[in-house]
Amino acid sequence: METSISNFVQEIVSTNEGVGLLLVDNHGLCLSKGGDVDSKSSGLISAIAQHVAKLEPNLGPPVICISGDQGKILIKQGSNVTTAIFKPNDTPNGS
Amino acid sequence: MIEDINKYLSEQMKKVNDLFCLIITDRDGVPIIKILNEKCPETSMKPIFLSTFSTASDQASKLGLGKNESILCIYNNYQILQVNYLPFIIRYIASNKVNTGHMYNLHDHIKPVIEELKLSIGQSIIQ
Repeated sequence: METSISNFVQEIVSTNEGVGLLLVDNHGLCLSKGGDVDSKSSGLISAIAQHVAKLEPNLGPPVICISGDQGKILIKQGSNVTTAIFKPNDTPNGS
Repeated sequence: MIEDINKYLSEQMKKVNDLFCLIITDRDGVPIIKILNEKCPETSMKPIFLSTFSTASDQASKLGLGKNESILCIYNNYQILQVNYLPFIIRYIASNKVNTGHMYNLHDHIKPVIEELKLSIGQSIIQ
């Protein structure tokens, strides 16, 4: 099971140059990571997703976009897994 | 200095939902800093609770995976994270619903403060 997740993450990262991907479980623990991402940020990613979901509890979990000087982080909370995509500013537009 | 560290740690603690207390002890379980809220279980301050980790950590170090760094215990109502940061042991007691990764992240975040504490009083504990 772990191998299939890992293969999936590597496939995403290799097809989108420069992009990082982090998969986090509901306890904020890192399931898998690919690209230039620190697995230690898994707790914060999960906490952000859980907090933002409380803004509109009647709607489904939102897609969160955090923009900074160096790039963007897109976070989406699923039922069991939270996905974070790290996209530096210098990545190609299609990624 | 201890007051400043106390204040800083209690501010940081509030950032993690459902975290009830943070206790810094020496390796024998003698409390040095304790920050508790009203939900913290009474058991957490009993000597038996505070002194057991050292033994458990020593045994865990014999499993062939190198020196044990931390032990996370998940119970029906609580999660307890105990980290070996010699000469200190740092304990986080939280609800079972706490974001475990966020709790580990808090630990990384407060490490520089614990280093300061180590410099000021750690030497006297080692001796």
